[in-house]
Amino acid sequence: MTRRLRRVIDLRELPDVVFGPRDIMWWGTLGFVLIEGFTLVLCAAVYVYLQQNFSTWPPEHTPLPSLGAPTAQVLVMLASIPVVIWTSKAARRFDLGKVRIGLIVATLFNMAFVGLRAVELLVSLNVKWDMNAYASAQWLILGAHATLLAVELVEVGGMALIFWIAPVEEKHFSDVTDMAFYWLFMTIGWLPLYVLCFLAPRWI
Amino acid sequence: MSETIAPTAAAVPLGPDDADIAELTRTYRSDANGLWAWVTSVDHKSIGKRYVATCFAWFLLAGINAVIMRMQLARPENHIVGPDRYNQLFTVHGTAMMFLFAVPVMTAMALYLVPLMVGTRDVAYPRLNAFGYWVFLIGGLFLFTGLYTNTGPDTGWFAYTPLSGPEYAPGKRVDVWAQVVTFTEIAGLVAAVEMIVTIFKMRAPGMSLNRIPLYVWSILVVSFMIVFAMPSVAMASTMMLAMDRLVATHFFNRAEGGDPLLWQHLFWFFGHPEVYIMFIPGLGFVSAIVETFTGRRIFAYPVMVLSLFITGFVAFGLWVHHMFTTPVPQLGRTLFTAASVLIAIPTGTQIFCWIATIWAGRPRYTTAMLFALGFIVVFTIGGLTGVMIASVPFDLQVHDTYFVVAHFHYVILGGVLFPLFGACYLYFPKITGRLMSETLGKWHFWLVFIGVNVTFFPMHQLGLDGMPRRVYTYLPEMGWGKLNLIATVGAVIIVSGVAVFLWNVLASARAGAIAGANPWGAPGLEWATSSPPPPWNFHPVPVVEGRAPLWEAGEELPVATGLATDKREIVITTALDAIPDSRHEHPGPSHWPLVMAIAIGVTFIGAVWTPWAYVIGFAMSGVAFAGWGWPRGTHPEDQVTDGILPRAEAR
Amino acid sequence: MLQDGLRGALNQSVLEPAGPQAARAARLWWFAFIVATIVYLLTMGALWWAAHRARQRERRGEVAVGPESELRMTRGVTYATAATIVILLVFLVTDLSVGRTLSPVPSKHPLTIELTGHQWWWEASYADTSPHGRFTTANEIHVPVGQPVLFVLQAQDVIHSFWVPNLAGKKDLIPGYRQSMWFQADTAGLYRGQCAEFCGLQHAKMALHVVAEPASQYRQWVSQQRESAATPPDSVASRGREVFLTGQCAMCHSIEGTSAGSHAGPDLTHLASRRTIAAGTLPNTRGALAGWIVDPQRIKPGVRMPPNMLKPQDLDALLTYLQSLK
Repeated sequence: MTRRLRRVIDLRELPDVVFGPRDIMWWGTLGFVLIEGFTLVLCAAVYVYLQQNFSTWPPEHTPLPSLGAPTAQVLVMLASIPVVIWTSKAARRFDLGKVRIGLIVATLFNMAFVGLRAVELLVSLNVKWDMNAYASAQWLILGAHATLLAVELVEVGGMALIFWIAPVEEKHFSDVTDMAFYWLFMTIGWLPLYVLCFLAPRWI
Repeated sequence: MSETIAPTAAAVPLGPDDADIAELTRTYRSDANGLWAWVTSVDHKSIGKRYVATCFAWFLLAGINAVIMRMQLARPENHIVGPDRYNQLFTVHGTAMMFLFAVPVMTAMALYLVPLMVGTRDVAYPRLNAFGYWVFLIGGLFLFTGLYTNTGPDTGWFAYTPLSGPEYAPGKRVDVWAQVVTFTEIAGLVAAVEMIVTIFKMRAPGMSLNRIPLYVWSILVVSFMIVFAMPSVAMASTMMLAMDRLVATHFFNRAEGGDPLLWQHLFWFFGHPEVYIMFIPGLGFVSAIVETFTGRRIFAYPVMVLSLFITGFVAFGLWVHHMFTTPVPQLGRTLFTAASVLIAIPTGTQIFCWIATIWAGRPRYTTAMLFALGFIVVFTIGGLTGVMIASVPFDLQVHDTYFVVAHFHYVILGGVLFPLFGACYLYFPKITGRLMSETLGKWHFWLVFIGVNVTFFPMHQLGLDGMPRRVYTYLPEMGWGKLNLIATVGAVIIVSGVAVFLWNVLASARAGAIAGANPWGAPGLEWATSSPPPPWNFHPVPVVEGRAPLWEAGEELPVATGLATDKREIVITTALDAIPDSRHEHPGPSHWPLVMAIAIGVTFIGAVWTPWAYVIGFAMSGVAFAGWGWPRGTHPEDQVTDGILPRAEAR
Repeated sequence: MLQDGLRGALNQSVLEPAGPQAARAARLWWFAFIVATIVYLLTMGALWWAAHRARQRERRGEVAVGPESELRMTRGVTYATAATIVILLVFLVTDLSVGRTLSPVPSKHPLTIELTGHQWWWEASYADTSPHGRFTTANEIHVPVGQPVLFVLQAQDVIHSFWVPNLAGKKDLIPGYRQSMWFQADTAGLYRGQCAEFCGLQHAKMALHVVAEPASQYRQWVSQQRESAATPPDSVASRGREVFLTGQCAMCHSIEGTSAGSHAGPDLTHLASRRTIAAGTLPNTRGALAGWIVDPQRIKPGVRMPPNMLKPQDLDALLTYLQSLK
């Protein structure tokens, strides 16, 4: 059966570069934010569940985590947020010069996150993962979040490279704003986990 | 609704535009030839087909396991396989059927069908889609390579700790299991994100929420369930069980404050929703089949959609009913029992709606329709026994017995396999352009229907007679021999049915009757395009003015024109009302998804032996990531150079 | 009568209850079964009727159902859904009330047995207020008829599950946890149970027997079990004890009153009083015992017990000794 076609809409005038929820890349980012965010929630649930098996937390003969590097990490994360928002706004205006600078600064911030995370794991926690279930749970949360930091470093670093040396197209500016969205999730999402991993053991 | 698709041009008839088609053909052609073109393809139809075929391959291999197990159990104290082999057989059977067949085959069908059903040209992220398939393929190959080299996992498909822990499962068998789970969960999550975005943002203009086909609704619900269920098992297997085994963390080690029950919670928080993730797409298929072959819209559409959502939501409140034999507080048991009983309501309502639809329609008893009816007959038994075992006192008796084996096979074969077979008959002509043989189809249906009942119905009695599951043999004095022999005979009947199906597929693909665009007179957009569809699916893009577009369209099909033909362009619409909002360009063929999948494969397969695999794999993934994302400069007209926007004036 | 328990079909059925726990579960099953059957038949009847009506209409040449039928369909689906809800609620209430009556132990000082799951056998320790009154046995539990028995469940290695279908539902034995459950046997008899949680290679042959006997007989059994092992009655048995204590046996098994005190394997102090060996797998005959000792891997592949290369006369003496451990 062949049908005649009746044209009711012309799509020619629609824009082909859009930002935020109008863009499907934003939705994809949202999807992975949901998945990774829920994974972190589950990590935290594991931590709380295992804590019920101990009368003290951290368990006896287990040192408390140090607060220096972890607190510095949180401050650096908070400091990075205005930079990333500034970059995102520049991207919405297709301001190539500012986006280039913003991406370089963001990459440096992200390197600092990864470096500080290494210090947090190897020094601040004061425990190795195989010491007891407490130590395993600490490494689980910090490690899971560390993969986010590492992947984002690859992404933002790659994006900076693209903006400095590759042929940049308009759609890449939309990608910058999605990167900023993910950045907010990654940094603000860390705050409750910081409280759980580093402050809670001192209170309980 | 009319303002949502306000005509911008006069309703003039459009002929097929040969110049457009010629240009689209050039745009969608791959530069490569033969195998390399296939490897680099990002077309959702090509990937969907290989995905479904791969799932069926795992289904056959896992089915062979089942046949060997049935042979072993056909009589007491049989010696076809010993316990070591038997434990690998049943673990791989369960793992493959769950992680490599029942869930992914439904996803794979959706990856093929959903873009066609919502009237778009591909899924949201075609390269990511290809990546998901390759990861899935690596996972399946890894599992069966393990089995055939005597390194098959042997601690059951839910791998309870401490039996699966470093102390009681030395060797690499359980590590294989843990990483196979990782691979399949990555693939599943990727597909779920694909589906969510495709359904939310890429529906044809005018396909507002209340016009989405029921099958597409079912996929949307399931995709959200995957997003919240799969991280649990992925985390528990990759980051906890594998780490306990590889680097001596203590998540499940009681001696160091870990907890074996934590594994059960994390596993079943995934594992119970998983059951619904499997059969909710089946419910969608049944709706599509019943609608098509009664020639009538499914009765009570809003109720059907609501039922899917309630089922998907409550499914997350049932997991503890797998753990009634462990120390769970009384209140918890009561709540989980109540939820487990009440989840039967929405599914029951859907069955009543289908029956009402059949009553009001003009049913045609094709093979697909028989499978839909067979679904109701078989699945209802599984549902009723499911309500029974929600009861704690009764569950404590039949938990981990053949009664439960019978129950979940009725649910899974009824809820997944029957609708899937039905869908194969329904969509085979769309996918291949040829109809499947109805004669062979009837043989296929009756053999499978009889075989399933002969195999699994006696197992209820075996469970009540005290036969536990996962036993490699039993004593002659137990009196279980006769029923087990009957079950084995049933398994042979199922095998013959599946053989008829395979023969039907192969023979019909070569020489079936030519189908045409819409052989069944079905209402959905997927039937508006040719069979098989061209690589771009639709040109011009269809516009939807009702819930059953092809039944309502009459002589003229409303369309939207204006998408570019010189690039792979799709239209993005608003999430609720599907108003056209922007155009988006899709990428062309790429080998980077495969490279990325290999990097992931090296990471997790290597991690069976050394934690350094994560470092190496991460570096490899970084390279793949760069190759994937690096701009090719294919659109010089779009390039932004210092402060100059090429098309600023147009904005 | 009990000695012949292994001949003919063994009793391991949910539907032949011999105690209050299992009886209630069985009644619940029959209730659920009948309700489910009715619901199923009604649903299938509706399906058949719908298909039949549609065909009838077609034969009469009617095209489609009219708008008044929409109302009928709505009514039909609504009633069916409402009926489903009512039936499920009735089932839920029945189920929860059964569950509540089954939970508490109906006695303040019940007979208490500590049951420990091992790969792949059961260790049962009978608690007593005096240390002398305690004793340990394996794979065969005796209980007095008509009295509630409390089980404290734990595991040494992996998760197992204690299940004697004729008497009660199952409970898991989980390393690091102590769970309890109780049952009561109302009829004297031999009831078989087997591990219900997959626990590795010999999960299939990890069985036990519950011997429910009248109180007097039970007391007799207890006083016998409390005794240390009998001294070998003759020189052959003495030689057998020698083999036991100097060979591999004593590395895993204990016999009260001798120097063999390892608890890696089942306690053999009163081995000869048991009906079966190898965790409910073989009858306790001289031939079966010999086969088991020489090559346990043939009977239960993967079992923890190693093969024993004994000289014929050593084996013979060992068997004589073991059979004297009444």
